Amino acid sequence: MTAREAVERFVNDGDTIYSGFNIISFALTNEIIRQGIKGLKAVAGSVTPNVTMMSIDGNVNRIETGYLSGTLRSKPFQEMMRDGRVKWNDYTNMTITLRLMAGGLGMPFICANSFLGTDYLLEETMNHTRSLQEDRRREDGSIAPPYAVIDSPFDGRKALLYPALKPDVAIVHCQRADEEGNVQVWGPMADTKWGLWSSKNVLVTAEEIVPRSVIATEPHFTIAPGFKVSAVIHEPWGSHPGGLNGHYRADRAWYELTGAGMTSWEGAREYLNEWIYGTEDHADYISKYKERFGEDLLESLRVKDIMTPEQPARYGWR
Amino acid sequence: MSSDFVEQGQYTSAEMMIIATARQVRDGESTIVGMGPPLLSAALAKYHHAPNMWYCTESGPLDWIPTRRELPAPLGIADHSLTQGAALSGDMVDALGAFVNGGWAQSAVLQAAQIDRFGNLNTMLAGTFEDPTRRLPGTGGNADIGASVQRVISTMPLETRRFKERADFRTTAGYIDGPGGRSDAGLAPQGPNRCATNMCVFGFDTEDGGVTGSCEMVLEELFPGVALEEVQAIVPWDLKVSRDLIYADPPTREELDLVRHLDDGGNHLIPGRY
Repeated sequence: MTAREAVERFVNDGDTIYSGFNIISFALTNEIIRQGIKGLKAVAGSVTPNVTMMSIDGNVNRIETGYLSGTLRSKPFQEMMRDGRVKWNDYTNMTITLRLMAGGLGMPFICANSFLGTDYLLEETMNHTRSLQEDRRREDGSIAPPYAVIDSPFDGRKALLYPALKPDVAIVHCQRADEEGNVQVWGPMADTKWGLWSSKNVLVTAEEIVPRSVIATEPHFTIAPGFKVSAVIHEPWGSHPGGLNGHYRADRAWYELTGAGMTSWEGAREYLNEWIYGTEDHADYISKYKERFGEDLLESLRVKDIMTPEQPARYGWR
Repeated sequence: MSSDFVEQGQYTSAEMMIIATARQVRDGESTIVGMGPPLLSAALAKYHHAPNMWYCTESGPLDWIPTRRELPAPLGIADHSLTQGAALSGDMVDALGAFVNGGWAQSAVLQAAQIDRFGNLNTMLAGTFEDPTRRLPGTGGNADIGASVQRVISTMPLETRRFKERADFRTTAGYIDGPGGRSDAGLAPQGPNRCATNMCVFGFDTEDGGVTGSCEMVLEELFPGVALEEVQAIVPWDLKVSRDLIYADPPTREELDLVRHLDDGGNHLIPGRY
């Protein structure tokens, strides 16, 4: 399947989307923008510049996250958060991850103590004018809280309940997957595993497609089994301008050369027109990058010091 | 003064802030390190005086052990270099869940936009919630960490917009409203906490992690060349000053060279920002 087919088939207007934390599929992000999907709610422990890009034309207009990572460089994004074109409720890195975990485990909510003693518990924080009240409307018309303090029925101590998150779709990039969609990831994994387990449809771009037998030699790296994955797409440099452990570093020069365009409306529009609407797919985007800035700049990002196991894990039984 | 110390004028107040923060990090301790300058401070501690600290970040890697001298400090809490030498490369449930919320992180190094009289941190916004003068990135893992980690080392420049009687928004619980605040809120005691700035280091007036004492910020160390009155002029409340107030040692040559090396040309100490 191609990224275009996967987005056409599995991403719908109004969906809640797990948008990735530190292994971002820019290949799928760019495709969502090209197809003009509207009104998505982005959820992730931290949202990153791929959400900024998706907010410019209203692909994303709602956010639940713990951290706006690099996204506030963008004046358009700041403006939309202020005037309510983008609506939001704040959580934390941990509580978003736990909410995804609850979704993945089929639990209605999960318990944590992260907001005790803070201003997150104020009514004006939970139900501010740009908050996601409509998403929390119950069948009887009342508004559910974004989280709630309880006294533990077991020992009376205070704790907080956070509702489960069950995104309609997850997008993520990975180091490798096989054709059945078994997804292997390593490096700092943040909330990725639970983003995948909690989502109804999982769309994965993979730096490498490997045979099932390669997956089986190191099954501990698999974070989602094939039956959980709706589409797996071979996309080299699929995380560019982000990085991928063991393959390439994040492209910091991109922020200077093109990504800085996100900081203004004109720049953002120019960037989208040239680099996303103006390219067919991710392979085309990468060739355009090479033409513009030279293959050497892209190649300079490649990780050269590869660490391989000194003594590989021993699996065996007879 | 030992010749190993660097003379005033040969280092910046931002560099001194990084160094003073690093000096609070103890060898052998498991430490959760937050975004921004804390990544540089904790890296300095690791290379300088705390080789056996566990350098951990919330995205999953526990025990970053750089094996090459030329490695710079990580750029972010999910920097791929953090798996270098790691004992465990897990996810947020491992790092913020079991390690931090489970009570295994002995200290934290955190940056914040604001701190208040009782050590509560703000990384959410400046101004009021409905009409903020500036929206900030949000808490990340700071709120999770403030709820669970015993000893919090915070760091930020000493400026009137940052030091508030009450933080514009409390994202991360310190001692909340004073003695008993943490236990009333349902949180365990926390301390002794520190806040290292570009002019001085503060502690907090409580012997037992927020149960008794005023729990207010106390000035403990002044940096070379900084007068008490300068600090008092910036802090907007009647600041407590320790009876044992001292002048901090200036940077040693080794500390300063390491900071500059680890910062790799301004990754963290962005000129004009600190």
